[in-house]
Amino acid sequence: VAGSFKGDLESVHLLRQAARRLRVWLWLGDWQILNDDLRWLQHRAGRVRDLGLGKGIRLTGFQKWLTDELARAWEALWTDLEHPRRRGVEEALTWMPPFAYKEAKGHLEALKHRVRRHLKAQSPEELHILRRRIRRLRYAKEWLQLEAEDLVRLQDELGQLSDLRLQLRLLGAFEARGGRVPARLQSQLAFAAFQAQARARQAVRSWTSSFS
Amino acid sequence: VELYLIRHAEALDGVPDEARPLSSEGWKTLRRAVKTLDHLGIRWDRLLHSPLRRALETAEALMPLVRGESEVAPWLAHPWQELPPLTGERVALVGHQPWLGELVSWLWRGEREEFPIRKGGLVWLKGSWQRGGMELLALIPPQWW
Repeated sequence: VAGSFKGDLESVHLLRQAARRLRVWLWLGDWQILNDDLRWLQHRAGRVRDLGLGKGIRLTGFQKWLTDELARAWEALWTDLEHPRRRGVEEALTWMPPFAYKEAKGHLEALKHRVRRHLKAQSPEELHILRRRIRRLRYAKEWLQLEAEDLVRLQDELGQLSDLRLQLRLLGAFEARGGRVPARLQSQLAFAAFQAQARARQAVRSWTSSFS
Repeated sequence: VELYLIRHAEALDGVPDEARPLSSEGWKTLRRAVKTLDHLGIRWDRLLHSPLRRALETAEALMPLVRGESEVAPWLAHPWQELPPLTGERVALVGHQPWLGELVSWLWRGEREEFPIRKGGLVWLKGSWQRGGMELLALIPPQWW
């Protein structure tokens, strides 16, 4: 939160990740409350983080548009971070009891089942859903101090596809506001996304054989 | 708006005060409360609760009645100065005495006075979220659940 107030993009990424991790922690402890609050925080941080991914696109007009959009997103995020709800989340988390390890570990099977149902993912949308399921399983295993290195690698592989698709969406939003995007740049990104999709599918296939 | 103000259920002693968990009797009271309210068809589109542990646990026990969002509201754990904005048509608030009782008095009678609410008890109000804007529909002590 402190880094986010300073305008540090990495801190916003970590804030969103922390909210996601804590939602998994609540789930492991069978808690429903605070889940909506953390989801709110996660979504509020999302806009800045998503726009931040556009910084890697080298296109002058786009970068100007992105700077303006980011400035607005930062203002909105800072307002949200000042909201009593954010402070309430921190206070509440201070007083939450720890989860019971054995019961929490018993929940892992449900998460694995959700992953299994999406192992045949092919399309970018299906792979995106699979990535989210894998991320939840990874966080759960990490809370339980179980080995999750394979999930980290798989999540990274799937994440490259998500980032490229997000960059394409940002260019689409720029165009919708009257911006001009060279066809060559769009083709390059689309091709990179296509390659990332193929790599993601291959990574999932390789990993599936070791998943039990 | 229909407002349901619930005081946290009975908690164990301990230090710090903020970390005190509900007692087994407190959990029992809440299970009965949920059953009764469920039979009455009571559902909330929002549930606001204090961030202290006994209120968190009370709110958690009441979650089966929530059809919308829950939200942590720090002002429910402290003396409030002015009413924050409230959205929702059927809203539950889980908090502490004496501030919860003062809120009832403020909304119903228009005066900030003491108003008794027992642990695990509920006050049901209806009207507008402003000073003296609500009528008192029911006051349910925990032994009635």
